[in-house]
Amino acid sequence: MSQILHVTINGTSKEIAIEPDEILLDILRREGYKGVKRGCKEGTCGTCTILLNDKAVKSCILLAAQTENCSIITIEGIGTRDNPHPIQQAFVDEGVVQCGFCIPGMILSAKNLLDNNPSPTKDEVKMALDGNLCRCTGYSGQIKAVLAAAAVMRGEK
Amino acid sequence: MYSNEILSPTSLKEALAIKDQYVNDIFPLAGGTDVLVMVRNKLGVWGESPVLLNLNNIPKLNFILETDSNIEIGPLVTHTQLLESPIIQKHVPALIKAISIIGSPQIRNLGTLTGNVCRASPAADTLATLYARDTQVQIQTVNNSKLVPIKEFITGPGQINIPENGLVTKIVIPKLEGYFGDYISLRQRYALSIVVVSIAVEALLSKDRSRMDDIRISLGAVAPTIVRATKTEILLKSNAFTKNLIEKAEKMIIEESRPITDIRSNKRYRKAMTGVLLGRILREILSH
Amino acid sequence: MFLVKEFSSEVDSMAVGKRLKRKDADTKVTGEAPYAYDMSFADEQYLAVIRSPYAHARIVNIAIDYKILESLGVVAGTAKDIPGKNILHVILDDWPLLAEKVVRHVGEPVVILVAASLHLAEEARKYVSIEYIEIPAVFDPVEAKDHPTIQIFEENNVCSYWQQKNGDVEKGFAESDIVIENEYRTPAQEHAYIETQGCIAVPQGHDSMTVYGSMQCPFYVQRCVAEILGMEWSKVNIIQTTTGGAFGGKEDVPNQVGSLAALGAWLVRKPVKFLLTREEDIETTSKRHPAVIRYKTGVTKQGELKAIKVEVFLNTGAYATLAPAVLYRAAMHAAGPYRCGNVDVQAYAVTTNLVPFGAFRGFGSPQVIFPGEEQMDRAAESIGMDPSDFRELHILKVGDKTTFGQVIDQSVGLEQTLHKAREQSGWYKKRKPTPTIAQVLEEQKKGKYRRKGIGISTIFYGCFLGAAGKLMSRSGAYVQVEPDGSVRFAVGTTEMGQGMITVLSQIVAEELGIEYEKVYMTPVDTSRVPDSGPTVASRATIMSGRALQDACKQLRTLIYDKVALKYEVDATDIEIKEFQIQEITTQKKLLSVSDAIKLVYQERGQIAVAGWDVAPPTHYDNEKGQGDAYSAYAWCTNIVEVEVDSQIGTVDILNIWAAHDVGKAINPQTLEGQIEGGSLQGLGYGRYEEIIFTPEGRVLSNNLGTYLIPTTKETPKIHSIIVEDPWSGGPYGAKGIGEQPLMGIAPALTNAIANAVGVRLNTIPATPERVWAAIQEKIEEEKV
Repeated sequence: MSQILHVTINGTSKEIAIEPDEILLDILRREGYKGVKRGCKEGTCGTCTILLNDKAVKSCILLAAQTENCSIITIEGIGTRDNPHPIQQAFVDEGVVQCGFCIPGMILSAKNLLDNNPSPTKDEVKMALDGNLCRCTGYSGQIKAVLAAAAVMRGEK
Repeated sequence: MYSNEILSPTSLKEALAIKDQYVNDIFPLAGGTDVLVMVRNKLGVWGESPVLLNLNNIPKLNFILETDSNIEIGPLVTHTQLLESPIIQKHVPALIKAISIIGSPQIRNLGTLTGNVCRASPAADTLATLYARDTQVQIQTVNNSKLVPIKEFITGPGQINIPENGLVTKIVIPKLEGYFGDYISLRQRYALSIVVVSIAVEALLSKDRSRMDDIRISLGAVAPTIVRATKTEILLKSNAFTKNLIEKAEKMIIEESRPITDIRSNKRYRKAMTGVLLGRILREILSH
Repeated sequence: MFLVKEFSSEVDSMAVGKRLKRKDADTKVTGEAPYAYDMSFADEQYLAVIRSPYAHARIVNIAIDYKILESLGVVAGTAKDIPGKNILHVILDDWPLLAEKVVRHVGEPVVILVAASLHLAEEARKYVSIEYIEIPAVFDPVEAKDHPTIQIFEENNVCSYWQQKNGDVEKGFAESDIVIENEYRTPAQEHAYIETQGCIAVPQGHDSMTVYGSMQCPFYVQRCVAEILGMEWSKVNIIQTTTGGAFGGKEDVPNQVGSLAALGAWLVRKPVKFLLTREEDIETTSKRHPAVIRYKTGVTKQGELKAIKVEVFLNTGAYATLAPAVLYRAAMHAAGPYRCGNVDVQAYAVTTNLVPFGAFRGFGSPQVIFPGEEQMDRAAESIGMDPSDFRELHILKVGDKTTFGQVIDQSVGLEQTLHKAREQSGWYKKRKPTPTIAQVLEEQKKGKYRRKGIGISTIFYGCFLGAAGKLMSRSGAYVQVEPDGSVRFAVGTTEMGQGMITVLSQIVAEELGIEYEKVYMTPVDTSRVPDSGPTVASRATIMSGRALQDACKQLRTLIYDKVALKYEVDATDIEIKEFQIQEITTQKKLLSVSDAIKLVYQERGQIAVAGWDVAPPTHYDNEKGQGDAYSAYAWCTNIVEVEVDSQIGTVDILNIWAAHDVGKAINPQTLEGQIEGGSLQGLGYGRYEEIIFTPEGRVLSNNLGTYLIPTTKETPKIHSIIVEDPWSGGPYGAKGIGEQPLMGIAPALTNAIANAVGVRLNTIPATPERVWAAIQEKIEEEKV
């Protein structure tokens, strides 16, 4: 039994035909948002993180149908190569992108934090990112990058 | 495949009517953080593709209210909302401590307290404090509404006592003015991790601080459900509150707890830790 | 993060040594970088694998309802359908692609199903029924060795043996004042790369096959796919997709993943995707070899290291795969970076009925470094010496002979790393006396539960493939200039996050004197360069680097010739300086390098060259137990500071100082990234991670919620200290960094725990349960 999902993705209204039992992650990837990743599919690794009504959630444990009339933001919606979001730029500048698989999810979790808390402490950054697993970097560089991005977003740099 | 159908009512009345119609063939869905994982892994009742009752379109179910004696929490309230609520911060600080360790921010943004209660895991962080508070669960059907103590609502791991046409519509947490409340949990890592053993304590010292007028102790992950350490509670209430009594209480609670060995930890360690964690909290109370 | 660098005396370089921005960061932060799962092909099919539920069983019958499957559009494949050889070549050729008569581990592939959707493929499982007869299984390597009845590999289940032998250990022990003997156990560590395994096979009929995938060693996959399909190697092309982490886990496993996909593609003549779920990945693919190590150390009261005797039992799982190479590294590193005249190391790789274990950062060395560095620490303790001072007495220096008889005549930076790590950490100040258990309990009574401690390890790492991997020690490169003055290059080694693209681009930029921004590496493709060996053993920078240097040297000659002709100068009187070509004698600038490249193109000069490199030869004599094990060595000192809760057993790691001699830091930023990431992974090995098996040999901890890797909350401050003692054989003196950061963390951690609360662990990870149990045991022993 199909239904039409009405949702806004990266600012664009969409009507997407879905089955009621489809997971949001699968729908987003099918719609072309390949930056939303699958690392575990049980809500642990965080690579599927998106912003749902401006809150970071894991799209692999969410039914698409639950997002009716909601706004979704994926990594594709926050910046481009020519016009990157300060967090994306900070991750590049600090050299903390290694294999890259955890990065989109991590950047969105960071954005969720900085949009609500422009001057986080290091511990607050750690807590905001503790749902995004990374195996390559050891995290400290990424925490540094988020703090650097925060400064830029506050207009300090 | 997760489910054959999702129904999304826009009022509680509608939701109750649907539940009355489908009874055990339909399951309520709020945040879904636990439900979807269980459905995917075909755990328990989720073995057959169920119909899902999506409650997210009923905004009236999202409330945190303070009455004279209680805090009332609606089924759609997320963990993040609880963390940010001044009411909870003031009246149930132990719950704040418990919730801030659950999962990760993304999980807390979606997962609900009611979902946690209905999932009825003996390791759930929130449940230990809810048991210590003698929390009540409101169950509604098309016909009636009643309040059930949480320890009667949860009957086993993942098992709840609810009529087949019933929905949980409120969690009622008694305020305990003047009580010292705390929660400590041990886990294998500090995020994205299930409790190994946990303890919640709500204690009321007498005015001269020589005795415990009241004490509630709940243990998590050491039994099929959260359990109250009733013998230890009695011991602490019946004697002068001294260093000596604390040592006795540590020994008693070790005897009372019946943990198992599983993928996360072993029986011997869990048992010993119930005593250690109780001792920490009691000594904290004694020294203040 | 604290950084100290020491550069060897060198002129200012244009690219090498600089913190240049990673080449691959842009596409990764926007989510554009294409991983295997992101690729799409027309008419693509999906693969599901039916796997053995038993650890050891005979296959009596495979019954497939082909009729129903056909009506569903599903194709099934068994061993009988393999057109070529049913063997996945790694080293010993004992690993079948699909089981035929026997299954030897839970999860072993038996039947493949190919369908238009994964859902359909999963549904089709019920139309295949396999009859098994279970036979006895064994899971412990000591038990499995020479087992009287259970046979997994030949008669005695020993698939590889290496030894090290020097002097007379019995005499050494007789002359020792104190002999310390213990048995240690290390767990199976899961790679937990965040992107799971996946390959996509795209056939061109039955004529040729292309396989895309997440992998470290495209040439390994090429050989396997060719042999499975019975195709010439020249018709099989392997292309690496952006790989989301590997750490060794994608060294040999893609042989299987890629070949299963290729077999599926062969059968249906359509592209076939095989993308593993996280559970399937953890349950059925390789992990670090678990090990049992018996270690005996003899010392005198004056601090002489009299004898070292080690027995290593590496649990290799059901098939040998990389065991001979892993065991070689374990055997060579077992006695540590020390001078000792009496050494006996006996190392065995034993097959058991667990999932085949394989490569993982460190590759056999972490298993022996944990016990080795624990023993050194206990030896120091037994004679009342500071553990760093004790190690300092024995660490190798330039000109010394290793325990296996190799004289290392250059690039031995261990002492430097020890001094710097000790200095940066404030070792002597922080190192308080180890408490007795009575002291610990006294403090608990006063309400003090937390105690700090600090521990150390000193290690070495034999760079590249060593004598055991001689045959694979060659690398190719291809450098091509473009009409617009930019340069593209290709190598056979792979980027998996470690920064290889960036580092090699810096080398090319440096060698050709052009701007780093103008250099581009093409995706790794086996049709572009000849077999360049695997991206393992921290060899990519050196071997691909040297091959690129070779190619660039040829290109420089070509460029100079064209410039000399045009400008009527002597070709030998030209040099590159600051992106310009100039005359050496007059220092007159002639033209920019970019323009010179355009000139070559215009003059129809040869615009592309191939480079080649072969590693210097080494030779090891296993009969004698002596030889030149590796071409070069990297060195590292780790100091770990912890805080232990003596009542609960939790260990919080506060600081890690990681001092590494890497020869030369080509990109200090990517280097620090490797040190930090590797140190945290080592921390996982020592503190959090172990695969838990059921008694029936199935992986129980099969997802990221039960197999626990560190999150941000577990991360300590990691202080990277870079030491450069250049190696003449490496590009700009570099030696490689990939693995060292992980290797020494676990024992530095357990040594710190010992310093904090006075108990020793013989098993890692140091979970609270183990630390607590050790404390309880000590209380019992000392009757406190």
